[in-house]
Amino acid sequence: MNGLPRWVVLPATLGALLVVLPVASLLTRVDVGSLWPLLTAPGARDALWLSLRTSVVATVLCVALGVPLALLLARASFPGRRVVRALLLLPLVLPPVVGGLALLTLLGRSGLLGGVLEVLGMRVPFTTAAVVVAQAFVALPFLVLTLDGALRSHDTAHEDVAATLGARPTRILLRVTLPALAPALISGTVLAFARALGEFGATITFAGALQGVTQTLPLEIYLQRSSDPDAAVALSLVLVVVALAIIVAAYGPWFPQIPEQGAPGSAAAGGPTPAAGRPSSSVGAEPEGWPSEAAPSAGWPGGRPGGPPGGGGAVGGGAVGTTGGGRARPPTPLRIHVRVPERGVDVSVDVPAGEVVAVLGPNGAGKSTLLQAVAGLGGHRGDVTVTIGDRVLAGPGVPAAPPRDRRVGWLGQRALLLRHLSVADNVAFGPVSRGMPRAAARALARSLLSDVGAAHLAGRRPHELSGGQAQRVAIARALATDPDVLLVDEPFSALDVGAAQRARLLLQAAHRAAPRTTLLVTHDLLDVAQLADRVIVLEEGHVVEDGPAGEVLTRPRSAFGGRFAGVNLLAGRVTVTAAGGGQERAAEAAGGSSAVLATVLGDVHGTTEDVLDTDTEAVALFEPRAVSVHRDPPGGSPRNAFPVLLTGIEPHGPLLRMWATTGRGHRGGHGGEDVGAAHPDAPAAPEQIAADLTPAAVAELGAVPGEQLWFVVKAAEVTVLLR
Amino acid sequence: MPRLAKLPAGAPRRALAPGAAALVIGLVLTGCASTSDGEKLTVLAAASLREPFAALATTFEEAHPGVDVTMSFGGSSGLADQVEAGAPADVVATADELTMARLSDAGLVTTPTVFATNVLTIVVPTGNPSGVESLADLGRRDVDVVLCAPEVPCGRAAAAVADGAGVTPHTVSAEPSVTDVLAKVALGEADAGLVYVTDAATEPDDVETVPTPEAADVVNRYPLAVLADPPAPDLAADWVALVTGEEGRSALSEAGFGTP
Repeated sequence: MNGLPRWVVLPATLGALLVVLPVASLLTRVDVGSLWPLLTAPGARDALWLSLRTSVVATVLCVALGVPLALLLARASFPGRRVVRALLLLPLVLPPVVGGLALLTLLGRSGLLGGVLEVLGMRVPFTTAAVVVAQAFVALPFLVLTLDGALRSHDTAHEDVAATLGARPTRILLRVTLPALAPALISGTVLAFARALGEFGATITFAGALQGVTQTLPLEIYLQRSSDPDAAVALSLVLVVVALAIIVAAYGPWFPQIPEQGAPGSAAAGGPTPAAGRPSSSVGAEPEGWPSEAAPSAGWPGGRPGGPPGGGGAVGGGAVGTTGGGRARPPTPLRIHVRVPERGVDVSVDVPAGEVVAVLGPNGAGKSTLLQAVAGLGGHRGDVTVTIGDRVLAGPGVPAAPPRDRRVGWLGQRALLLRHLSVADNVAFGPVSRGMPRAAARALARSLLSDVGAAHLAGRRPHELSGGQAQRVAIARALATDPDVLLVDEPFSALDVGAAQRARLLLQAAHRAAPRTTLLVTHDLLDVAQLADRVIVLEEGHVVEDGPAGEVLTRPRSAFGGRFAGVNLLAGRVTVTAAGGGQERAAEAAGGSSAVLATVLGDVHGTTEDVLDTDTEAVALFEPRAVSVHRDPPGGSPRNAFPVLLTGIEPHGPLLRMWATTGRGHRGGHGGEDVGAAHPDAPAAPEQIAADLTPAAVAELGAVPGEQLWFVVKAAEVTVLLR
Repeated sequence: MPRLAKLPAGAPRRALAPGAAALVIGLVLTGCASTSDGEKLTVLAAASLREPFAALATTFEEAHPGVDVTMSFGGSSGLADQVEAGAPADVVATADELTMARLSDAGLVTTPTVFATNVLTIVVPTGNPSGVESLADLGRRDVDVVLCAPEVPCGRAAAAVADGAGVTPHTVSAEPSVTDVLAKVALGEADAGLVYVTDAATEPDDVETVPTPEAADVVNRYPLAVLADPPAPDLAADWVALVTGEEGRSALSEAGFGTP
């Protein structure tokens, strides 16, 4: 039963009966024979008609005022927001009669505003308008609270992406936010209407009761009850039926169902705020493979897609498509400087035109902050300077340009396609937002979809796509506006290996066809290896490493870089260089000079090609497979021997990887972490080192975690690098 | 709940929660009414009787030591609904004979006694801003009048008064109770209203009365009756005697009621 405990059935049934039984027993009191004359009596007819009219008007009023109110409460930050939210609850708590009194003290003849209105010859109490005001007063909180709750459980990832695609705030509100809110909007509207329809106390107090003018159905029922209880019951039946009809109509089969994929609130992941979360795949019947008409090798024709306005007159539909080879604008360099002193962030990054820079680092290092700063998303404290080409988008004395004017493209972990639009319309969303005629945007979308092998998906809705298909569509959408800078945030981490690789190759092909300045936040070695020209490593808000991708992968300088690349890295200070003895011979054999580094594991002997001075900071690198493991300290030959505590053993390809620490900073077991691509963002623990052994060797050693062992590595296997 | 503290260490505290909840619910449901072991008299009465009956309840309790008088005031027809639904009351007093007839016809009460009368009067906001001088003025277009709805006793009385005088009031609202009529006049939202003289007396600061001789012909009579099977029949009889007796008459006329 959906994993629910059985006992919930009992209270649930009682709850349902509490509501249904009294209403049902009301029905048993209805005298069917006398029903028709009672219902067609002028008083009843007038009351019903008045109730419907006023409730509809009050509901429209609630929507017109309540939607903006809820948006401000949920999305804006202004002083006293919590107070306003609390005050809006008041009509729920106040006895409606008190609400009516409150309205009288404002709009009554001697009220604060009413006195003025009276002078102007306007009178609110005792009019139909007063009924509407009273109903709106009590009904508004239902709409606002429903919407506010829904808004607060949605993140703004879709809105952020729409902004980078060039949509203005009103367009985002109408085309992104409100469609996503449709279920809550309908629920809130129904609630507000139902409350308005049943409103009694505030109406009688504020508007009075006069047949055809202010005497709504609930008032009529109340009055009838004193003289003719049967008539009251019959009228109640009318109210019940009308309310039921409205609720059934609103929640009918056309009530928007929330598709599973990308369901808002299910995972606040992959947008500008990274977190765990994985779109459900295998939704579409389409196999994940490449459609034959768009194999990746043939996939990306030369030239960049038709651009938006400002891109050299690309608005016209004529040149749209990917075959207009000479239309590409040259790539532009990107310069960023983000400084948030109170969070200890100070990062400068220069991305040369057309380069892909991968940003690595543990969670919380500031990677996403960097991307958000470029996109102009998220409220940023601190000093942010962003320059794309010669356009200063933010900086000292320069007001931050809104995301839509930055000409950046966003590709995140979640595809963030707009659920209510077809795939083609999703891709066309950006160009249309930037003013491209609809037909031209559609043509561009078709062309881009065929480039990503998704032409056959053009008519589908996002929830009918698999995760890989959705991400390919997202790539097409990000490129559709021909951004100067592409911001890519863990783009494939939610996809299975095969789909991730296909999407990665697509991005690579697109980049080869038209190099585009790109910042790529990733935790995946493959992303770096296949996409990145350069790598920077962020730790605690600072760039700790910056170099060509190949250099960082083979000769990392930072602890995170080392763990990312899968090598042991020990940081320390140089104590001896070109030392004599065995070390020197070993160094000569390895073709460099030797060096000794003082590290947390003691002295480390290695070779170096750098010129090292004593007391400079350096790192020692050695491969886990170069480490041998012993129960007793080995003697003789030029070896480093580290006394360590074994913390864990895990499979690593055909080998087994033994993890060990010096005991200092011991975290009580390594818990299966992989030094490579999977979890490089574990808390930095540089004294943890790995040794790769064959299963036979591990079996022979017979060591279990918690034992003291010796990790041994030849000096010739240790590379010392200037830090 | 200091008892909890005496539990031995390690007692299964979770098991206490349902017990505590049951205790709380039990207390709420019984209304904590077990405080007095004495007798109890429950009186249902029309809202307009609140002041004289409250005074009489004090007198009654003084004369019957250990007896607790519980009053429930409300609209007459609501009280009749309660009696029909079997409310555990001893005496019911309504503001009109029609409602009481409903109960006596159904055999729910014993023979009713009329113990008080009431007549309508015009009330206007203090200062009489619209210059209402007579019942005829209620027909002026510039005078906003609130009355009780014709479905309730005070509305029937108001209609009878107006019809008798040949006046068609310029009604802006037909309220479900006399309290609502009085409130709207007291707030100044309406220029005039027709309420019982006893009601007018409860708002001496905010309303004035305008002499309404035409209303003297439409007398509203308040019946009182003991329920068919009262929990405290002797006390109920004593209460009827008190209300219809000298002390009762005095308290009622002090509140503006007439006596039959």
